Amino acid sequence: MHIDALIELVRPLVAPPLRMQLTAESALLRGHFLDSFGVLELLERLETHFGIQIPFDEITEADLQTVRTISALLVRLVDK
Amino acid sequence: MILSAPLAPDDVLPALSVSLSALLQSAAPSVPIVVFSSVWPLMQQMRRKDVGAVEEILDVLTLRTQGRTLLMPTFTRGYADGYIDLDSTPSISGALTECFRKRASSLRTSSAFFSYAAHGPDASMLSELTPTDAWGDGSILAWLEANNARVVILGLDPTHTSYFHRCEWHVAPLIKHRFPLSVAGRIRQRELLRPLQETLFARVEQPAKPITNFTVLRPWIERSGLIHQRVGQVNLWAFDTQPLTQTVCAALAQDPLLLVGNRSAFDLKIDNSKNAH
Repeated sequence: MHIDALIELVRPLVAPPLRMQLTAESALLRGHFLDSFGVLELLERLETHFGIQIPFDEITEADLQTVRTISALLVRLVDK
Repeated sequence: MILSAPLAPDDVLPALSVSLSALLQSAAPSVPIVVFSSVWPLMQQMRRKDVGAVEEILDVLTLRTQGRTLLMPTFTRGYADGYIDLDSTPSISGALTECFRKRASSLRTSSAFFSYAAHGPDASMLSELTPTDAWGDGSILAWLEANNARVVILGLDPTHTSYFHRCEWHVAPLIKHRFPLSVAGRIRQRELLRPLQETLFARVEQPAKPITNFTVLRPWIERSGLIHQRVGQVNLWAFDTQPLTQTVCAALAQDPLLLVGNRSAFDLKIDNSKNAH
C-alpha cells in the first residue's frame, strides 16, 4: 500500500487539532496523535482493509511509532 | 527474548493487580505514584475496546495505590484565545488519564500545558501549586522529585515519560537548545476563573527545532534501578525519581545534547536572541 493511502487510513483517527499535520513520520503515540481507543480502532481498520489478522504478540510500540513503521509492519505480516 | 503467553481476557485484571502490587512493594506507603500509560495493549488482551474496560483498569490501579497520592499527566495544548477551561478540556495524555481526570475524586493541577490529575492525601495541595517555571521549583515535577515518587509506566517503553524534563531543568544553564518562554492567559479551574502565568523551558527554533529523544536514556534508567513486571505480554515498569534524576543529570551534564535526536544541527553556536518571542 502506498504510504499516502495509509496516511489517509490513519488520518480520521487522529485528534482533530493534529489531523492535518499528520505525515508518514509523525510520532503517533509520543506526539499524542492517537490515544488507546485510536490504536485499537486503527488495528481493526488495518485488519479489515488488508484482510489480515494482526497477532498481538507480533506488534510492539515501535511498530506503531509512525505511519512508516506501520507500513513496515504490514509488509512483514503480509510476507509471512 | 522469550515472551509470556497471552492471558485469557478474564485473567488480565487479576494479573494486573498482582503485577502492580509487585511494582509498588518496595515503595513506602507514603510514597506518591505517578502513572504514564498506554492501555491499548491491556485492552487488546482483554478483548475490549470500550470505556468500561479503561474504567476497570483504573479501578485496579486506584485500589492498588489506595492511601497514596496518585497522579497522571493530563496535558493540554495550551490556550485558545488566551483561555483554557481546565475543568472540561480533555487530557491528550491517553485514555486512562482522561478517565482518571473525570473522576470526582481527582483534582487537576494548574497549567495550560502540563497539568496533572491527582487524588489522595496531597491532591488538594498539588492542585493549588502555581510554579513560576513549569519544571522548576514549586512545580509538580519538583514535588515528585522531592518525595522520591515512584514512576509507573504501563504498556509503554520505560523511556516514554515526560519526567525527564525535570532533569533537563536541573542542568538548564548547559541546555542551549531550550529557552525560557513566558506564557500568560486565563484558566478556569474548579469553577474559578483566574489569570495564570507560567514559564516554559521551550525548544529553540534556530538553527533547528530540536527533536527530543528520550529513548537514548534506557541504559541510565536501568542503572538507576528499573523494576519490570509483565501482564501477559504487556510490560510494566517502575523507577524512583531521586536515583533517576541523579543518574540522568550526571549524563546530561557530560553531554547536554544527549536528548536531542537531530543533534548535528546544534554543532553550530545557538544564538538565543533569535529565539526570543
